Amino acid sequence: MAYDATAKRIGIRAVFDLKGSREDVSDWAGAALPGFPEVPNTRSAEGGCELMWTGPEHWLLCAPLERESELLGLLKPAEAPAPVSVALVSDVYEFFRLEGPDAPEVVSVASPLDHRTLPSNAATFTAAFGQKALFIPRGGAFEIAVENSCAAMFEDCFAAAIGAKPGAKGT
Amino acid sequence: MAGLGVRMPAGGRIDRSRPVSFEFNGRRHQGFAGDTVASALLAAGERITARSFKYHRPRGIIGGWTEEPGTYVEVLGEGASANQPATALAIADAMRIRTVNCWPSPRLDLGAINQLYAGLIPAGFYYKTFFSPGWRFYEPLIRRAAGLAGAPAAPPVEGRFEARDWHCDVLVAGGGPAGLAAALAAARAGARVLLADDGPEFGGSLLDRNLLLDGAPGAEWAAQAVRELASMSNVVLLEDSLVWAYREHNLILVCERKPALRGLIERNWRVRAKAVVLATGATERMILFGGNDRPGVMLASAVQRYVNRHAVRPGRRAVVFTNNDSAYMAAADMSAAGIEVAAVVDCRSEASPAAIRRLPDVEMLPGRLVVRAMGGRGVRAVEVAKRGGGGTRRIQCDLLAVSGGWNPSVQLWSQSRGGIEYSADIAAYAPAKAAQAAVCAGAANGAFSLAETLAEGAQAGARAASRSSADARKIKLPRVETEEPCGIEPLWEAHSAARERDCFVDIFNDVTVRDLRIAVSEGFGAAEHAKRYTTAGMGLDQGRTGGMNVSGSLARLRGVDIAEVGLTTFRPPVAPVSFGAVAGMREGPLVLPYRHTPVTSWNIEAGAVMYEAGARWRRPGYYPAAGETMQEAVNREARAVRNGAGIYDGSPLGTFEVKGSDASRLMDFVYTNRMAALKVGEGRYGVMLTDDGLVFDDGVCFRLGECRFLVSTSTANAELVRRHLERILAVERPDWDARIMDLTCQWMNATICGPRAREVVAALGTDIDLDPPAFPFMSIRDGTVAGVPARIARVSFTGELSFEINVRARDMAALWSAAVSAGRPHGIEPVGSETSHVLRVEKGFVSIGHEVDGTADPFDLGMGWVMSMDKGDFIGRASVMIRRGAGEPRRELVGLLTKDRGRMLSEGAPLTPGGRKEATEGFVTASVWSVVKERPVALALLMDGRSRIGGTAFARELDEVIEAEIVPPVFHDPRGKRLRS
Repeated sequence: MAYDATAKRIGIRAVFDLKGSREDVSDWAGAALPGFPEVPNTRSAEGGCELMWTGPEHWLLCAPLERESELLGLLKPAEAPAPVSVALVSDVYEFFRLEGPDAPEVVSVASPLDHRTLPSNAATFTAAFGQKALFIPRGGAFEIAVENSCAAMFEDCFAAAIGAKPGAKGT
Repeated sequence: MAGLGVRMPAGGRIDRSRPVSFEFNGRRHQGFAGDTVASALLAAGERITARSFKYHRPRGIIGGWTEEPGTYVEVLGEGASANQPATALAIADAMRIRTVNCWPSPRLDLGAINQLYAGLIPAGFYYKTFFSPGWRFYEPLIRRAAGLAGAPAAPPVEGRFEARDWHCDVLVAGGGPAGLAAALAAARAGARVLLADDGPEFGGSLLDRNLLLDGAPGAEWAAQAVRELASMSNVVLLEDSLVWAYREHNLILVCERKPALRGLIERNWRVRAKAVVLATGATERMILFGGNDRPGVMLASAVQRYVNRHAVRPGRRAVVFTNNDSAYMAAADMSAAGIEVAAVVDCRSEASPAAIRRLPDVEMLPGRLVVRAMGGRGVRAVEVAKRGGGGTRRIQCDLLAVSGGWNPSVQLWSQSRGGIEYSADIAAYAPAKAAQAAVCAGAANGAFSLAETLAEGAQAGARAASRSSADARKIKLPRVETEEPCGIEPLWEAHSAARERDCFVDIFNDVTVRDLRIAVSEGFGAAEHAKRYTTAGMGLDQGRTGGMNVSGSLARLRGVDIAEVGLTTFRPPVAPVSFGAVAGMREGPLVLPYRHTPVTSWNIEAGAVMYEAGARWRRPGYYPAAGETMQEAVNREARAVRNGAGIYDGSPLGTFEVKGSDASRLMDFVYTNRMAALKVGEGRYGVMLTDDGLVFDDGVCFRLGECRFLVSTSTANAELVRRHLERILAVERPDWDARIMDLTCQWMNATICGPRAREVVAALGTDIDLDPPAFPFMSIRDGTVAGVPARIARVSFTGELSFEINVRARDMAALWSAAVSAGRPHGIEPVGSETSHVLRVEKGFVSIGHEVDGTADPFDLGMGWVMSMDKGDFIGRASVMIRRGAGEPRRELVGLLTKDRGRMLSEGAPLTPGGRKEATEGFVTASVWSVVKERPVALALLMDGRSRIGGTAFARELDEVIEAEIVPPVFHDPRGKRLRS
């Protein structure tokens, strides 16, 4: 391999899509959420949960998968009031962990994001290998969440970007 | 006349300890590390290195870098690449090279026969000839005769390409004196800097010329600057990297030709820069005289470069022809290198005293012109005449070094859409008003003295880093001790009218002054028109050495000032760039994105034929059993659905949740029928229209709660529907409270269909009551299936009883396997896209891309019932009503049955009156073999189709006309009893 980096598929997490005004979302789901991040495209963390501010009136709540049922009980998507949308989207996102000394180089191949200037608590949607991806820097490593339908393609793309031969999944 | 070249015993920036052996047109040559193909060939005395594009005239090395208009080569074998300028291609051990566009060799080229009838094939001759039998007949012949190297036959054996993104505060293009000064100023100010230069080492003109800075060679100052920049963590240095494109929003493309990373062939950088400094230098230009393309006619700066950088003497006895002072410095370097400078022919009445002092022993011929270079296979002499006319004098020489002045290299500036204006001071076009956050500095800005260049570079770098020009003045610049004057007098042409035919304005494309004259006489005198008529400036060199002369000649021929003529727009790439670098890692299976469902692995293991079926999803087309043809497999699958049970993966269908107090208003606004009236748990088939009243998408809408809907769309349009809904909420109805949640990849679905579908679902195990009264058609229920949370919808795209079982993606593979097992006693078969197509055609259901082709409204498709005219406004309603109010005949959906049961219509076949070759009255939208009719059936859009049922339609196939009876577009269960069962 050319780059000293690895990209591993690390599976799914408990993820909930939250839309609505901050006040309305807070009123309905505040008890289950960490404090709201103050800067767009960043995340806050509390008790193993992370709340990511990913768009205007749009947040993602991420937690370990084993907490999905508990959070589902707290957030009650079907019962949320009209001004608030809550949806379980754990299965939408397949997470990858990219790490190693050359991980930033691989990110430059994968994405147009200016990742070198991101704050350490960033969480932002961007493009990776031409597809929509959620990008989360973690220390010197990166987590990249993509739609599960693209996960096989991402495995191949990461392998190619790192310098291994692409697999045959796309054929 | 081989053997002219001489490698000097010392000097140059070549590594004499590292000899390099290479092959040129089958002959072995040797050079040194640091040599280009051109310098090594010159050192070896190869005078004829190429043949010209059109007339196959002998050509030699003319330039010193990418301005080269004469010699382009093809690299063979591993690492093959085409159309590389010999002047910018470094030699490598065992490299094999051949000249493009000649056979068998540049010395003896059979294509040179073109010279015999050159007068018959001037510019634009192909516009006036080759009418019979047609251009297509001649095109391949002409392309073979005049052309360049083909693409390599195979990809590189080893290595890969990469494309990457980068961001910086300041991008500096060009690593000469201005670029280095700019990079230093910006980097010292703390900016993130990327400095790229296409040369093998930074320094630019400082490496080509003998200039002293602070008492030391300019190259030493450059080396010190590079050392400082390399030590700074905020600087990226890209050597041997061509800045090849300048796009919108300061997006700059840089091709790094020799990345240090193991296994990487080339790397393309897509750089977003807050500010750009273009320090791309200037290019010397040719002067137009008879035979100005002869081997041995070179740019003076190129000769200077070969002497100083490569320690090569391109000739023994030289004449210098100039209209400015810079050539005197080149002549001095030539003389110092041992080339006998026979004379300096200067069109001006006098040069600067400082320039003349450099050449104390050389004959000066002021006020004179070289009007002709003589010698068939290389310069043997030049004819010199007084400016304004008079007798000529012949001077023997084997090298003519020409300097027609300097063109600021504004290619990138032009690409950025920056303005370009003629400057009389430098007799060239120079940058004017900027269009983006960019500035030109140094020679690229028309500042040709080294002191000016350094100062401009530093100032541009400081400003680009958002610092004041006062900060720039604080940067200590080196003292220039060997200042060179320029002092130019414009001179474009130095030929007589009789020599227009061998007086080349564009050497690359063999365009002569005579060609320009023809273009002007035929009304193509504007710069852009002349370019297209003659191809001047369209070669790989992009007219670097000749573009100004084209403008100068056009000005004379049209009788206008050169400033009125202007330059043509430059386009990327500024020099050849390999496709591999542009594509990066996108090769093989990664050329296009692809999407899988959790069942993809199962499908592949089951032997399904996989291909893309919309929105990049790879889906099974059909599942052939051993020895089965596609049609046999499809028939088997379709019969299973009609008689027992089938299962297909509907996961790629778009799934969105729409929620908000105005969600029902939104649904009624985007669908043609009334969705607000749905009760919770009910659904309805719906059609969305475009603003012009044509069907955009169809699908199903379910009500999940008072303010909550589930929208199911076609696979192909899923993303477009999402954008459509988001746009309405953002632009047209921003006051409405509704939000869209994309759940396409959360809920995967396995659809079990067929008369025994209910038994299969029951066998899977579910807590949902499947009895028809409790769970009727077009309703949705939550519960569990096979032990996992599920949501079942009763919809049908096959015309049979169907249960669309939606589960979380993580559960889909297990559900699928369980369903296949549970369905086995009921004869269940997995069903691919081909079979789905058959089933929906039999039922007369429309499909996106077939009947829904962007021209049909619901009435055309026989779905007027879906237009709820008693509800409020909805998208497309007004357009539909206006169109139908006109009472014009429309193409309408019908069925077709071929009169010969054995014949099958082709999808897309046009329908014409009587099958005659006339305007079509429709086309076949879908054609399949029907398992319920045991014969081919088809759907079509046919003019006034419904009123013609019972009549005959005529389909024009490639070789015949097929007659078909026009029938209603439903071939199976027209009353819909089965799907409601």
